[in-house]
Amino acid sequence: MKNAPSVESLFTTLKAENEPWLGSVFVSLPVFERLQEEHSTILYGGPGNGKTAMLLELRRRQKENIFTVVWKPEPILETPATGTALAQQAIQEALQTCVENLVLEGNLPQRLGEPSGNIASALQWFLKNHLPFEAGFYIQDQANRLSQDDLQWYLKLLDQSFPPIVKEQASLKDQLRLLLSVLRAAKYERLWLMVDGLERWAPRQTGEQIEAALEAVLSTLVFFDLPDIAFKFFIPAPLKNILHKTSGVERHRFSEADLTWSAEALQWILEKRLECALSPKKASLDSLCDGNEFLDWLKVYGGTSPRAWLRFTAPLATTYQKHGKRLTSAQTREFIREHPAPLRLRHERGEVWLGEKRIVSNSALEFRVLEYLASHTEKLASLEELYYYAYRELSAPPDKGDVAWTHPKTWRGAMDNVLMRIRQKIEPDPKNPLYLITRHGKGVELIHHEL
Amino acid sequence: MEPAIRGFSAFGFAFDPFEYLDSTKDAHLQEYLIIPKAVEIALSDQPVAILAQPGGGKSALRIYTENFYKESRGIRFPVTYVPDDYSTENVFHFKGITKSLASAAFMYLASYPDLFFALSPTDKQKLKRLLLELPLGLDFNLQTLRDSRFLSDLERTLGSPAFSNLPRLDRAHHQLAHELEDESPAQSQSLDDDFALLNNVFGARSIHILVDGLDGFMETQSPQALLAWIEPLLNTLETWEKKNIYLKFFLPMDISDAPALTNVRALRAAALTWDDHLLAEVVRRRVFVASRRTFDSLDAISAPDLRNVELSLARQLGEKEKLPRQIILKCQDMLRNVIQSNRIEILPEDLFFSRESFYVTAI
Repeated sequence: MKNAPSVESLFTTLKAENEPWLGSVFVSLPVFERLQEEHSTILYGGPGNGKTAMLLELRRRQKENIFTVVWKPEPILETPATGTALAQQAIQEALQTCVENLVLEGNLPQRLGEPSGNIASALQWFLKNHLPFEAGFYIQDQANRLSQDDLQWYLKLLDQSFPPIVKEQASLKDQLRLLLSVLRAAKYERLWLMVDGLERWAPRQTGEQIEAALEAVLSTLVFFDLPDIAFKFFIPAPLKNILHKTSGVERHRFSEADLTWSAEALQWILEKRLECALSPKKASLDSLCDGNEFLDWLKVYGGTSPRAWLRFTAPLATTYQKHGKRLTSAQTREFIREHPAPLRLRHERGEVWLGEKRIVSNSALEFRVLEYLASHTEKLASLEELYYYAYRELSAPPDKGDVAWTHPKTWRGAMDNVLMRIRQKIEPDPKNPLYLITRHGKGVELIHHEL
Repeated sequence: MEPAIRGFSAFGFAFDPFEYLDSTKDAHLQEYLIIPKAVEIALSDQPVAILAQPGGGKSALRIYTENFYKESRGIRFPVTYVPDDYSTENVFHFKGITKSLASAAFMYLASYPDLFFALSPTDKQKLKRLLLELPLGLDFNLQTLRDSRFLSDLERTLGSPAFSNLPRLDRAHHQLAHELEDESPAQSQSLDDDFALLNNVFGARSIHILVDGLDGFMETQSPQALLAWIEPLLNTLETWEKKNIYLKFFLPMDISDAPALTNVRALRAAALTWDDHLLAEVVRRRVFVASRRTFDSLDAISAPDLRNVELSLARQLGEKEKLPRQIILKCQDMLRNVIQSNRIEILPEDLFFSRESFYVTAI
């Protein structure tokens, strides 16, 4: 690969959209093979699990005769429409995306040349009816994305006069057949609609709204159910339960697959990137450090998320590149201590996570201690502050004369116990803590914590 | 060559017989579809309701029926009506059937173009009137006829199958397009007039309207709503039957007990259900066709101690999974696993292979 990306880019970009080198480091799974088949498929995956990478690679490997469109449905927030009308709203949105993609990525001027009257008329109709703005304005607005020749080709097409093709009563399915005719004239045999970006829906809507909107999107399958169209849905795993209930999934022609990674596949991701950044000879964890030690640690704290594995391996790869020396077993352990998995609090669920490992704790008290420390990172917290926040639910210690004030002798032991219990749960070595640090005589702080 | 194809040829298959879970996309369907005895009435001259679970083979049977009638060269004329939209307008289905009739008539003419030239001027005008109802209009379709090289191009545009296997479109098709363009349409005509036209000009002795995809809309998920939606069609059954026009519904199983359906005297209903032996037969038939009639069981590509592989697979399916789609999926997963393992033989442990991350809800 010419101009190989840096180690830092390869391991810390963590967003497939920003990885032009993805094709060289992509790791295929059986599930990817299924996505490449003609059938419509729903792929479920958690955040950072590689859904977008799969989508991008699928597009990159696409055959010339398949036109792919990435459709990121807009959340349908407030709409009076329900049922099929809502679905039609969604399909109009999909059609608009198809036509926009066709203009920007379809190479129609080259592929169609001088189209027949029918095709020219159909394309003109789509441009005039399914672009977000007035067609001429939209085309001219793309001057920086279309070549001058292509721009003129579209403007000439829009200026021509054709007998109308699409009658008022033409159904959406008829319109899709017409779009397929245009695609076929441009030597595209199939249309693949890749549906992505539904992550944006979840935080903005509550259950029923999402369900109705997803139902609408998935019900578009009724209209899109044509032999030359396939859907590829890339769906966040938390939406799976909602999706299962929609009639679109229940009744239509979809196979579903979960995007899951084994430790072997995750290791392969790392080694592909090491190969790209260093050399094929160094393309193993073992050439950087004591592979088993590091791998065991990754399995615990990186979970099954490619994003976490990449992120946690990044400093190791950088260190190796800097010093050019393999870390011994002791050095690997030390390296892990210096770069522990970050601690995260999930406030809405009261959960504590170290990397991708969830810490089992049912104690609201302990969580409140961590919560206080996490929100006061600018200074050390005194035991007094922690006590009044965690036990007494006061935002600050009261004055000595206040009725809420109690003598430190009454709570000091309890607080030491709480800190000890927290350490037992979160620290790999409680006697030699990494996260919850007591500075004698000064206070307590939480480090390696991230929002 | 794709690894999967290479693998299937190693089994002795000319193609992957388990590739398509969706019958509407399967080019070999006609060769290997298994039709349970109970639903053979789909091919009879009477109004029929075929009831099945999702994935139970409704659409496959509908396509088979359509192809079966096509072979009569229009004497038993098939028309497939799959609504494109949902509307409670009273004439909605009749408008949709007219559009489907126009598509079928156009494909018939494209299949036998010389027929048009011999028609009387009145019949030509009536045909033109009907063809004005074509999806996207007659002009568009005539231009497509002129631009197309093969009948399959027209089939894809209209989504309606041809009646003959003409390899290429020729001068007669250009002449047909020209004459149809020049012809003046008759005054407006009713759906009954359109049916009569098919009898007169195409020699259709019976017309079989295959109604499918009714339960694909959010508004028609409940049996009551679905029945209310098709009520106008149920009300025409007897009148149309007297004219040899037969409505054939392909409906979801959960509607089967609805009195509104069971009380329709003219309608014969049959359930498309499957048992282990029929499902095993589904597999055997596919194997037979894909192996170019060399062998008819997966036993032929299994380890010597394995017997009745397809029946074993069928027996593994849960009660609610006893559907063609599920057995096809099971075979698909099993054979792909064998290929992935670089083998050409099914081993006992393959019978219990299930890829947990893949599953199909419905097809």
